[in-house]
Amino acid sequence: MMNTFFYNNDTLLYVKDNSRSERYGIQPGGICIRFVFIMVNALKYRFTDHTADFGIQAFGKTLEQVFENAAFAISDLITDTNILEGTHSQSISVGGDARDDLMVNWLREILYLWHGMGMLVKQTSVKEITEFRLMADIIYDLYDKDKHEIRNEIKAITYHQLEVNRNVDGWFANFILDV
Amino acid sequence: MDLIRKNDYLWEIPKTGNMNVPGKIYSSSSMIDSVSKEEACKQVANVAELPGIVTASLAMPDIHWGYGFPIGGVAAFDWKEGIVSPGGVGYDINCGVRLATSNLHVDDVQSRLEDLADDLFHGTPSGVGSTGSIKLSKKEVKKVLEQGSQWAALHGFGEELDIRRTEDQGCMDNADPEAVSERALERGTQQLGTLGSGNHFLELGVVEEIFDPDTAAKFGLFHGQITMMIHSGSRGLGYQVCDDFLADLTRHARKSAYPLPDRQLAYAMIQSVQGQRYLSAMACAANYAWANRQIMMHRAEAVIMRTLGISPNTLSMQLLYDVCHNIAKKEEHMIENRKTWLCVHRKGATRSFPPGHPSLPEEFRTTGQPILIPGDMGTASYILAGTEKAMTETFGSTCHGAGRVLSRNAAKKASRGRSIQNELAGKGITVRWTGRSTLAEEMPEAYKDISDVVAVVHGAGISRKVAKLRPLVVIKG
Repeated sequence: MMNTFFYNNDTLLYVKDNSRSERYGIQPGGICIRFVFIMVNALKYRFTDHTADFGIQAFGKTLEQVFENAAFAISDLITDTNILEGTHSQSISVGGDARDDLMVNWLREILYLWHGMGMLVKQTSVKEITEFRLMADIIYDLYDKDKHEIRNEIKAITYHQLEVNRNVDGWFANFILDV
Repeated sequence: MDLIRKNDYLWEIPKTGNMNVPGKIYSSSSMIDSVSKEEACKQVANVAELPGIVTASLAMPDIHWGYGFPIGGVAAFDWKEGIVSPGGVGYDINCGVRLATSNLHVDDVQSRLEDLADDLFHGTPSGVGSTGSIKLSKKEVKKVLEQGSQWAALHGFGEELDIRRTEDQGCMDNADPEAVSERALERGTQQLGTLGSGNHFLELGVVEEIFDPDTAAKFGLFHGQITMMIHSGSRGLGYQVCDDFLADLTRHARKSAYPLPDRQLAYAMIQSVQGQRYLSAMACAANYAWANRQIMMHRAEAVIMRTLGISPNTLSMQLLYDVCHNIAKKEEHMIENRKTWLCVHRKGATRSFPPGHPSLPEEFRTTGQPILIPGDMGTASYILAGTEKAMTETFGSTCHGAGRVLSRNAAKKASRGRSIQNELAGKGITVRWTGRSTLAEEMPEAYKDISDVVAVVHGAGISRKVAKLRPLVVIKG
């Protein structure tokens, strides 16, 4: 089966399964605004194959964006971010001893906000980033069991096959979640 | 990767490159092909590179791709010169299984299975991030971490027999709550007595087949008997302990001259301050898991009595045994004809101690340790007994379950357009669950056939079949 690629303004669209594009009336090589809108969350990350756990690949035009999109992948697996209102905000700072270590620590922090503090993160905005530290604003809702459905229990972010790197389209991050 | 067939049940990865010992995989001719294609084989070889490993890096027949160590991996390290690795234990420290027997026959409950399913589901806090009715202060959590099952019994959730029939009597004695982070303690305050999600479950089953009548009788099993199995672990507290130590040890590993084949294999020397600290924290999480399973069993027992309107005497529920799957333990084994203290890592593997082993309670000294092997929710579970051959070949270890063959996404895809609930109902299995996708992800086809896995450990002689259970009621997180 042929792979189909779509671009919107700043992010690579990767469609592995053509049956989906056919369902939305799209031919390989073509583009459709409605489809782009529907796929918008999928552009931020995709699943990679792993037998027992979740393998994730997050994308970003910039380094800031790949960190934001990786955090979004975690939030999106935990709950439906569309119904979050973003009622609260907080700034956090995370360190690491290399770029990939920084990614794991950042995602650990996002996960702890949920597990330890009951915070469901709607959006993150990376304000400053170096190889060893980042500062970010976190917009979140506090968990309300009558309002929010919890989709998956993510136990941890692992170091297995971890990679944060550049490619022709910007940046990508590969990581595996223990679920 | 090169795999050399040694006999019907054993394949070897020859010692090459940086490996200190060979790899050994227990499998069968029908399963080995899929194993050899997976990342898991490479992981067996990676573990063989770690310092102080003795004899071989082992994998049980339910082996599958983990991170760092494979799931189904067993590795033993010299207590003086070897290492301990949080990744070799896993995030869900002392994830394990317990099985309780009863005096009920399947004919007594057949017409009440739907009611039992509803009441057990409501009486067992389950699902993602589930919290229970037991809320503890951090000070009280520390007591749970020190006392394990004993804490549960002291608070009315069990009795002396339960403690005796739990691996390590439900308490590792080197537990030191000071080694556990504030974050881990915080996560422990609200989750005691909760099942969790994913592959965790509470299940009522029936003894369908008995392979060894003598041992079955000594285990208190009879044909048609109702049993209860619980699969759960140390919840968020355990995940946090693993995560905290991995973060720390990974930093260490970067500074070390020895390059790790996979960062998830980060380790500490057992005799180092960090190594001892990890073992103390891991023991805390293990104790929390034992208390957790003890509380759930006690509550489920009360639910069954209430639903059926029967007395404790009529139900006569007794713990057969409680085993852990994810653990590192100090054990004495014969290495090159010398008794040697080892740190045995079992990650997705079960202890399989033989008849006469001093760690076993009196009543199991002639049978060997009861071993509980859950299958997927649609087929069967097995009760096995430990053997001498496990002591000589696998550091007293055997398999722990079926092992996944389909990823969670592949399982969801395969279940599209089907009702897994109805399919299970067609087999006489009543299921209740919490998560939207739990049932699809955990569908029977997502796992290897448990009977194939058990045939390997029985054939290889590292444990032996005693009885087979068929599920009747399954509560999933």
